[in-house]
Amino acid sequence: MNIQLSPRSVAKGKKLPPPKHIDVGGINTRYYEAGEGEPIVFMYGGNFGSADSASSAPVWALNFLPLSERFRVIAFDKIGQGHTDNPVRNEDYTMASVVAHATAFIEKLKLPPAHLVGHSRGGYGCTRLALESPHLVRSLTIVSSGTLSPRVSTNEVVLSACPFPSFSRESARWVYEGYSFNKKAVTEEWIDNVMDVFAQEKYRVGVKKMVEEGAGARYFLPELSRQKRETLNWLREGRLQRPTQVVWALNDPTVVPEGCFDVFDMIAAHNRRTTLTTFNESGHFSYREHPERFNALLAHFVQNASV
Amino acid sequence: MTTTRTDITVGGRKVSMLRAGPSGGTPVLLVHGGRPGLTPITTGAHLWDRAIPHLTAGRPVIAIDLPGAGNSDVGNADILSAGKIAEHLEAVIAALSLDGVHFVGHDFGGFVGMWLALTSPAKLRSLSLIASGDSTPKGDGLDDILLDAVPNPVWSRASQAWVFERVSYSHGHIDDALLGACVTAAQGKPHTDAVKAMQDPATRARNYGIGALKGKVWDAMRSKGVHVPTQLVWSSHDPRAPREAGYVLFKIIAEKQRAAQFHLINRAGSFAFREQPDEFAKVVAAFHDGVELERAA
Repeated sequence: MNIQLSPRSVAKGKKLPPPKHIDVGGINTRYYEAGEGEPIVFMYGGNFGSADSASSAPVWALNFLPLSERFRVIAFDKIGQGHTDNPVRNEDYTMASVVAHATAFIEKLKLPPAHLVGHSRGGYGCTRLALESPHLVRSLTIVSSGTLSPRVSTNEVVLSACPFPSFSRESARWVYEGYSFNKKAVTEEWIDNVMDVFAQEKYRVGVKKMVEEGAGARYFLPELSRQKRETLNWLREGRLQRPTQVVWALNDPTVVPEGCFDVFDMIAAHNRRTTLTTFNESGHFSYREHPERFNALLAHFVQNASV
Repeated sequence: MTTTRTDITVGGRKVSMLRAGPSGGTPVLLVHGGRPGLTPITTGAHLWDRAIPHLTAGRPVIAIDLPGAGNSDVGNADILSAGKIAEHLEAVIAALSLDGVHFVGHDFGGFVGMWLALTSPAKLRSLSLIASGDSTPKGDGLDDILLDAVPNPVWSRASQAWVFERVSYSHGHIDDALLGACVTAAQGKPHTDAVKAMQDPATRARNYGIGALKGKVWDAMRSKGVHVPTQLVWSSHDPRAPREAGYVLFKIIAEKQRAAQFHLINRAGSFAFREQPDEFAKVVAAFHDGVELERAA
């Protein structure tokens, strides 16, 4: 099947559609939706409580618009990030809550089994979701997920000692440039979206809880450590039973490039339809540094996984 | 989808190819691996039969027989070297009036493509190196015992089936269609001419000039790089082209070529395009689409 997409120049003039809001178990959840066909659900990276960087659904804009020509694309804000409500209890500042919320969101939309695309922490989240709820998932794309890598992550190196004040444009730019191969990939529109998140009172509350009140050290990291061990064991046992692609980058300062082989091997041992792609001249955000080739890869993967 | 065989004459030689797919768009040129007269299977355009239906959605596909393979004449045996075959393919591209091609080369075909990309980058819109053991740095490798005990007679049906099994992950693709086409090719004049040419010890030792050309390849890679978007598609279980070697080549190419990608296909040996044709075609067609989108952007 011919699945030609429009190049970025065509998408440039277009804006994301107005966001929608839906109640997911009491959590007001923001999402963007466009197009028809096989559903693709994007889950970005990061977590609540970061004062120097903040991803939100519009980070997928370069992918969302071209792919919406062929597929039903959905980009949502995770619990506690973007414009979605914070967790109610301090002990819910965990990846388990993020996965539970994402699962409930997909169920609430009554989607047919979806093609999950998760980046970084979102790659871990989507993998966990596919392991816990395979009936909701048709395929899985894991993009540069240090969280899912058995090896060391160097994420904290890039995020440490930001020379600019927290919640500033400069701090956000410094962090995302540090993530990238080509600093020019960090556009003003990208930073605008980060500032939009920083400007929300509820986001600052999340940072306060994670950092000042210690939810990060008390709940988030210990729970993630436990769950990560379990998740890697599940992968090694062969529990992941959906077409899967691992997408990595050669110049990612935060995810060891050769770690792609660890992730590929764990999954491929049990799963015929597993492929690996590594992009050159790409840092952590391959889908923003090389959107045309990323989109074409995703379109073919989704199409092939839907047959 | 229909595949038709076309023969043209280039430089006084018959050049045979399979063609399929729509007429518009930049064609995909599939170039098989193997060194006719040396490799103990008769490679040729017929090896791509399982992948072609998966590749014809967006653009035309041309699978060529290299000189000495399938139905393509050897003619003067001087042509049996990588550099000469690259020149030959350039002439074929010109004879077909093609503005540019997406070059997809398996093993030796990939090595030829790499040289063509270095010498005539304008002819190629993109380059896909498929499990190209012939293209990677080797160093002081271990004694290659992979095909040490090829059963005689070489190029018989049983012998070729043995070789395909040795280099494959699974045997499912080694079917009557494959072995029948290989045996037919083994009986053809191009193959017997190539075998005859390789009986000369000096010609045989030259091994299609791969060793001699590699030095020039590395020099060109270091000094100017490959000026063509390049993907490397390696396999999870390929005894001829281990992933580590492919990854090393990827990093060499990546030094100077921005649009470089490395891929692994699961549950495949040397012939991912036969063992996992859908997974293979997905990765290759996505690269062609992506490269064209980037040009348009």
